[in-house]
Amino acid sequence: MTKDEALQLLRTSINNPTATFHEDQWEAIDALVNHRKKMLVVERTGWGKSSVYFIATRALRDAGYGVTIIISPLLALMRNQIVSAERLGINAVTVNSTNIKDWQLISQQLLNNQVDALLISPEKLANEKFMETVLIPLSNKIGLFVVDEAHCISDWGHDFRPDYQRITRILQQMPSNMPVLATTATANDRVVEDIENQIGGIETIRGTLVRDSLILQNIKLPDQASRLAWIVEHINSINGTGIIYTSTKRDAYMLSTWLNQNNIKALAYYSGIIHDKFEDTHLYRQYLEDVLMNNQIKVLVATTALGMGYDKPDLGFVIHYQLPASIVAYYQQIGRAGRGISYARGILLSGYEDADIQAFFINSAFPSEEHVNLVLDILNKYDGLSIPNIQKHINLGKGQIEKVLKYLDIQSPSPITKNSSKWYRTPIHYQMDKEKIDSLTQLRYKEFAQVEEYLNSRECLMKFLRTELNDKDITDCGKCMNCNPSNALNTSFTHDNGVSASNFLKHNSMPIEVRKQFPTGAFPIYDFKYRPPENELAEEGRVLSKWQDAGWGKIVAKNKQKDNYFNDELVNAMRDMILHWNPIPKPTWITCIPSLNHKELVPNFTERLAKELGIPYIEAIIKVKQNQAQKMMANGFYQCSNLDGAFEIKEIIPNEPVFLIDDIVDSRWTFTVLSALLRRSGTGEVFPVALTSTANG
Amino acid sequence: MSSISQMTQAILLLTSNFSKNKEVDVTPLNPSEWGYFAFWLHKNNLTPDDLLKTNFKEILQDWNDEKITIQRIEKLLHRGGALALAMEKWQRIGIWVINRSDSNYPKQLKKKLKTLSPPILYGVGNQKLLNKESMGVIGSKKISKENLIYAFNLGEKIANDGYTLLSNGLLESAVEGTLNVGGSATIFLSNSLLKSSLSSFYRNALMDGSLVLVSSSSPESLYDSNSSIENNQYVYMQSSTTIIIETKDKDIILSAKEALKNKSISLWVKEDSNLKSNGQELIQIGVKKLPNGFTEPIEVDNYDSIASKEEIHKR
Repeated sequence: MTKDEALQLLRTSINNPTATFHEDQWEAIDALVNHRKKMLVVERTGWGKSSVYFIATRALRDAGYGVTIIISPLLALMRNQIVSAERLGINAVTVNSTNIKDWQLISQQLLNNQVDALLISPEKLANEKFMETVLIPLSNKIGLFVVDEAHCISDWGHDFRPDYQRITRILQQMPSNMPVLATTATANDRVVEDIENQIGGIETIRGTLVRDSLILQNIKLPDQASRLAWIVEHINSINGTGIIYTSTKRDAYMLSTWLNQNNIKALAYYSGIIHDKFEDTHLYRQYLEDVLMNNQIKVLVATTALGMGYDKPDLGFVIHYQLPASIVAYYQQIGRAGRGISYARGILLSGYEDADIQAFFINSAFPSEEHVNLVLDILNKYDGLSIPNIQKHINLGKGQIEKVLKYLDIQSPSPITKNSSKWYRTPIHYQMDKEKIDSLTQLRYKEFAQVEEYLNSRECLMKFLRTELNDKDITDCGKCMNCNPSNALNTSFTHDNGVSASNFLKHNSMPIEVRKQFPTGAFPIYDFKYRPPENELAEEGRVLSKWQDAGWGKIVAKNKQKDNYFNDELVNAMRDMILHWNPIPKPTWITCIPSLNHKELVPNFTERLAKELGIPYIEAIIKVKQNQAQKMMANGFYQCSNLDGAFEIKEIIPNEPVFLIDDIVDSRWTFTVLSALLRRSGTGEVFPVALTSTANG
Repeated sequence: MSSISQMTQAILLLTSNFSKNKEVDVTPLNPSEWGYFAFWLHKNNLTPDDLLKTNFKEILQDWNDEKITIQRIEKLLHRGGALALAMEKWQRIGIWVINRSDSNYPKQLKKKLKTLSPPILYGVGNQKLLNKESMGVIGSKKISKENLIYAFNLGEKIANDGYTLLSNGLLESAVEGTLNVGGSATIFLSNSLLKSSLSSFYRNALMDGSLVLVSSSSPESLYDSNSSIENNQYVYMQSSTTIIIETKDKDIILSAKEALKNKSISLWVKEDSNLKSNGQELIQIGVKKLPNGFTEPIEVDNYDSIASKEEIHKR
């Protein structure tokens, strides 16, 4: 293909008869199409990476080559790209979890050579059904292999993703006659070098990353109430719509609630978020992305799950509620703002919880050697085990087991492999690479220290970021709070907003969703069915706080651990929460879950709460067996077995709706089991209520 | 994990299946086609990896063959995506790939079968065992109790005599006999290498270096009679001396007949009193009868443990 031919395609694809190539675009196309090379392209978002791979696809297809495979973590946002691909007569399709029923059909179209480009997410490569029904039958005729957001390949990078490890190994095996394009907007020297070393035989094209329209500002507000107050007071003075990043899901939920209470339209966004009106999390997240895209809300409050590639040219601001993990991550996140407008803000807030949160993330990044060995030992004893079966053999949580499996599965060679739903031990000696884990952990701490350095920096903030990213031609930006202090927003807020935020934090309850299925074989005594009938299920409950949180969590923890008495402040808070919640049908009595170790603690609290609510407290549940503390049980099977036969219900109890009180909720099994027992004994609906939650997330 | 050499990549692209199912669009070159083509490449001072260059059509301009057309070669070479996906999956669980020019490639196999020797061998476990001095034992899946014990004893004897056991993967009791006394074994598999490499029966021996599983068929291939016959041949060729235990299996008789065309191959049969005519058939085609008492009978109380283990492995 000649440059002129490519230029014609470019003009057609973006519907602009006078368009010219951006720097390096033609060079990349030429290398792929005419020289069948492997290319790493590091260019800022908006440079036009998709033009490169769609023009290359058109050229290769016209020359008789097979389909282009495009691997990208953000498929929802590729819809615009699919439109521009259509202008080139490229039939691009996507296969994802929302169209499983079409896979067979799409696969047939692919085999019939009717499709030019297939867009998939990286995790699809670990999906056996997808590999067997779609990709492998097709793989004899792949013309071009594209990997978007290629910085995820590097585990030295800020956003290593396990699913990319598989992509790396596939790329390593690509023969030299197979063109490959890897693209990213965020990679410093270390990451580029790592990608080059890992893949081998790849050439790099690298452009500049500067973003002229961003005004950067850092604000230290140690306690959460101050940050809530500041945001409410200033967010409306910032033009346009934007994103607030939080470090945890809970804060995303909390902050969006707070903003809505203050008449600022906000929605929360994080991995696994669900909504009644949407079939699954994937669809709801897509909806949330669209709502922000169309400026129907002021702000989307998101965790880093709102990730790479979210391309909204007129995004007006990105605020961080907490410090991010690294400078590169920060640059990538604020880089979403101001792409197509002349003025946008990147504001970094920070508080005293930042270091703790990051330390937690850093230290829980890898499974422990002890857990790894437990899983390997049990797999070695069998010819394949499913995850529920592993749970029956070892006392580890499902999440812990999955973490171990995920970690081991991306090792190469790997000591384990998955076949259908079972995991097998492979005949490979395995030793955890502790040295590497240690150096990665050290690196993460170092990267976070750089963020703290950025927070306190007196020099040009944009310059600081670009230096860390090894960008070229770095000069002062002239706009940030250090270059031009008059651009900065005021850091103060009114006393009223401060008080109101502080009250809000204390009235920030969360729903408790009880379990709807029991593990098979865990209840020989109670004989619960795998799917219990509707009239044995609890209603949605409420929990007042998160263990040690900024609202009531710290008081609950102190009262439980030091005082062995929940004070009246908590009784009142719980009463207010219940009144505000007002569940239907309204419970007419109240009971609690007894404990043999702390006989008085919860009943005493419940009795006082009953008086406040003006309904009777009835001791309906008797503990008949001294079992182990539920918190020692790591997975559902063990947690359930531990509860089986431990409680009985008294014979005469009201046949009316009831509040079921406990101090701490974690796995929710205790609530689930006791609600079922109460319902069996003839009560009305059961509403679980707890003082604090120790569950993650 | 390192990637395989460009040479091996090119040979794989031209000769191998990358999925469970037969290739639909284009048939990989079989060993004799490959032998023919490789000979031509060699004569023209070319190596298979030259075909991975962008100008490979120019390289092949003098090549002309009705069955091995340039279009077919081109289609095969453009299966790079399939190669990469398959190799990633296989290498991840420890499967390696060697070609005829590899130093660990079984030397007798190459010497005796020449251009018909498999262009690619897939394997798992200790490659170094492939060229250890070995004794072959061939049997079939269905086996009498008497022969089960016999095979176990034979495996033990081969190890004690200092040989590596060479077998076709159907006689697990012979392998067990050998491994039981600290011996080593090479097993040629006609199919399903991937599945076998995950079996708990082989796992410890694969990990401690006393076992190698090797196959000329793609790791995920399923049983077919032709590869089963060829696979037996590989055992005969590589070991020179092979004892056949059970004789009801047609594949064994066919493969023995073929192998005996090579004068340096010596085959022995352990006659089974329950199988009259087939043993005779083998002897008629030139298989020698094994003298009685070649191995000592095993004690009766050991028998149950073997039998029950055998049961477990079959499940």
